[in-house]
Amino acid sequence: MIGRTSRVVVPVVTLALLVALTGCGKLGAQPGTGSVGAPGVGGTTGTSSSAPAADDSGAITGITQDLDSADAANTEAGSNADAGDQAGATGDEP
Amino acid sequence: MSRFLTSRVLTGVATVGVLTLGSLACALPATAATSDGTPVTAHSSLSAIQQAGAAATAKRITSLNTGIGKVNATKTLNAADKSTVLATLNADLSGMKTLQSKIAADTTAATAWTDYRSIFTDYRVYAVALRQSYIAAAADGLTDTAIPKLQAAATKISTYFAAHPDKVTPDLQAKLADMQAKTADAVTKTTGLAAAALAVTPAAYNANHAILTDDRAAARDALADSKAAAQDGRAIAAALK
Repeated sequence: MIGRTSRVVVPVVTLALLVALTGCGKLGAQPGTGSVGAPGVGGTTGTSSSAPAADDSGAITGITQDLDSADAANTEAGSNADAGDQAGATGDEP
Repeated sequence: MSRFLTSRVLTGVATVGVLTLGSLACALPATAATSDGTPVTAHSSLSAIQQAGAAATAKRITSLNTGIGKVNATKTLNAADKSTVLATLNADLSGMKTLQSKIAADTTAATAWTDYRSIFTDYRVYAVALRQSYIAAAADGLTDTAIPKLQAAATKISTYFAAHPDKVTPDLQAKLADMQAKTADAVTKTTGLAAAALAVTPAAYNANHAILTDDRAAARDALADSKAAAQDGRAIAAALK
């Protein structure tokens, strides 16, 4: 029984040592390493799906704000143009 | 401003000269009516002319005070034009008050008639001063605010289109092109418009009663362009939401 156990344990330990010493663990670890570095990569990926929506909203808001300002200026310009017409139409000047 | 005052002084001198000669006095049309509806002329009585003069000056004083209030309150006139406009309107206000007192104190119909005519020919409160002020205010509002904002919006829309070609339809492209064209038209029509309107003097109006017609039309056309451009922008923004 002891002999059988040692025959099983020794290859397992040997295999573990081989994995540890040959760097095969690194291969397995690369995804992990990637994931450590991945906050940037993963973050970018995550942002790329949500950031455009935020950018779009901001861009359209900016356009709308510019148009609001233009409309307000147009309204006042129209009021002034009307006042100018009224003055000109007072009409008691020969 | 000196051009306005100089013009008005020269016009006044010329007017006095004409009336002294008496060559045109009878040909001049009646310029207002007394309270009973009778037009005043060079042959009207002193009291009739004084009555008409009091009404005409009071009306202009009220309008000038209203106009000065509006000019002070407006945010669209640029500083230089506001200064010019306020100088003109305040000078006219002072002139109207002076004429109001002088006409009331005149002792002959001839003198009162000369002063009465000065209300119109030397000042042109409605036909020139107020009208040019409002045209300049409209032009400045378009030039300094509406047009730059439309240009900024068009630039942002172009940037958006470039970043999202999948969202750009021929209709949206056409609207942007129209927005840019209308804005460019507004720029053309308002370039130098305020200065041109403010350069018109009572003397120039006396020589050509249509002298502000083109400026008025340019302001109206530019305003229509600016409104159309804004509508294009609104339609595009709504489609992109």
